Amino acid sequence: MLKKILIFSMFLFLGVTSSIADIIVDAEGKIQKYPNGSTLNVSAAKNLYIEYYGVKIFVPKGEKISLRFSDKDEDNMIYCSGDKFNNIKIGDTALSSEGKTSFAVSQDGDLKVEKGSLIIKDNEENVAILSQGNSHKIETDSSSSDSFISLSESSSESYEQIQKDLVLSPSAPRN
Amino acid sequence: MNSVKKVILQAGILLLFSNFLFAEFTIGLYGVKTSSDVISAKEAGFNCVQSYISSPETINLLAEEAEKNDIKLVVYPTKIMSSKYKEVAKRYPIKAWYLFDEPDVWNCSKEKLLSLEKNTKKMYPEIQTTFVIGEGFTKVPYYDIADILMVDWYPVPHLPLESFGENVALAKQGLIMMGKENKELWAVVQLFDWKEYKQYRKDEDRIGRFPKKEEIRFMSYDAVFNGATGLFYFTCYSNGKPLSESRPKEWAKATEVIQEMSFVGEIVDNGKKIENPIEIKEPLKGQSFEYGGIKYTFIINPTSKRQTLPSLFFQPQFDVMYEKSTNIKNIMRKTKNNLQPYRVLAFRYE
Repeated sequence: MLKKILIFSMFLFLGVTSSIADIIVDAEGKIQKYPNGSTLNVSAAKNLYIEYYGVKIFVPKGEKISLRFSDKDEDNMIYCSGDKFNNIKIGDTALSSEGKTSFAVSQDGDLKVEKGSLIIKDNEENVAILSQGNSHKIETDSSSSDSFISLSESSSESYEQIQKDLVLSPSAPRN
Repeated sequence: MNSVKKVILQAGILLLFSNFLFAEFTIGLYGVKTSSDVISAKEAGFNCVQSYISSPETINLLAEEAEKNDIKLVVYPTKIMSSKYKEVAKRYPIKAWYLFDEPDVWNCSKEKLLSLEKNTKKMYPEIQTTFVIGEGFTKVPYYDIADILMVDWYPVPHLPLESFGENVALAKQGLIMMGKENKELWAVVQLFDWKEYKQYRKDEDRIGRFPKKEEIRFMSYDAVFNGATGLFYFTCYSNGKPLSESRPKEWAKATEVIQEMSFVGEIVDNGKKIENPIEIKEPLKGQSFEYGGIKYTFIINPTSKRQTLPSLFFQPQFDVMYEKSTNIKNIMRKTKNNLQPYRVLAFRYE
């Protein structure tokens, strides 16, 4: 029950849409479908804690970011893009940008800026500016005690599997 | 003016003002996604559709199609309110803004729901609001929020079928308790197979089947008998496709129920409630109406056992509706004049 409450409190007013195929999660948190390989457009109406293919991402209220996981050539990269990020966190590293930026981060924390530039700040307040083509190692796990909603999907999972941690209607079949 | 002209003139006036004179019983379909879905719903007999899609662009398309097809929408307001469509949305054929889906299930506070309602009404004061609760009795008394209350409960195959009507009754009691006894109450009838949805059971051990026509019919009537003033059916899609493609036989049967309930709803909304022609003893339930000079009695058996039908209904003046035969004796021959579990009978007489 506590887990459900925690998940719910993070999930309220989540606005996430897929630019390809079906809507994944609507503004009220109902997962419709989550096809593997699609781009996830995250628009956070509230502070949002997401676990995406093993990477913990914090999207502050009002921020937007597009995410796409690719395991092509076994690189297991998350491709991120957006415009004027403000303290979006991957793990404990805060990312900001002045304009349109795209970067890739591996599940191991290898971050590379593909377009634009990123201002990164770690949890010890160390700041660095990464311009296009530059790389940096970050920690993809988070020290936050908040509950992260998993939005990852393996090829064998169906959308129903994603609802594993969601609350269900009272009339749903039980054991 | 001669009498023929008078009749024509009266009929014309009646037709002209019929939309204002006759209340329309809401019969809606949940979960539409495309313009095609809107058209299919209209063809099936629905006069309202709900969509979970909150994208303003999609809602705009749905609204255009709904307008063309004279069908109403129930959609989320939140994103529209901050979009370029916020002004034109005032002219959308919205039956009600869909504030929240099962706030009781998601532990949404009453304050949060009230805030949603307030913000929506601020922008669209003329448009009604609604939300659905996941069971009839909610620990948080949401009953005095929004213009319309919806209640869903999906019992097939694992719960007693009558539990649906019981939850509608509980929702009605909640409304009465909060001083909102005249508020509209829409009941959401199951039109899906639970095997397609997450359960409290393990995924590999899911149970479920699509409701039979008789079950959909019973639940529809039982909802009305327990106070529902409108009906919705969840849901438009099965396994990723519209029901008309994925389950055409089930869709065709469901459509028959929809069209029946459309007429029954018209009778209930616009007819005069009258006494049953004979006492209908529990556990059977019966309601009678007079509409357009004709009397109607609807009887349901809300139990899992056979019940005896009063012999009066075997008299020739009672025609049975919505059956293969209008003669009750033909229909009841195999059951020795007993009403089967969850059976519905609709009679017409003068």
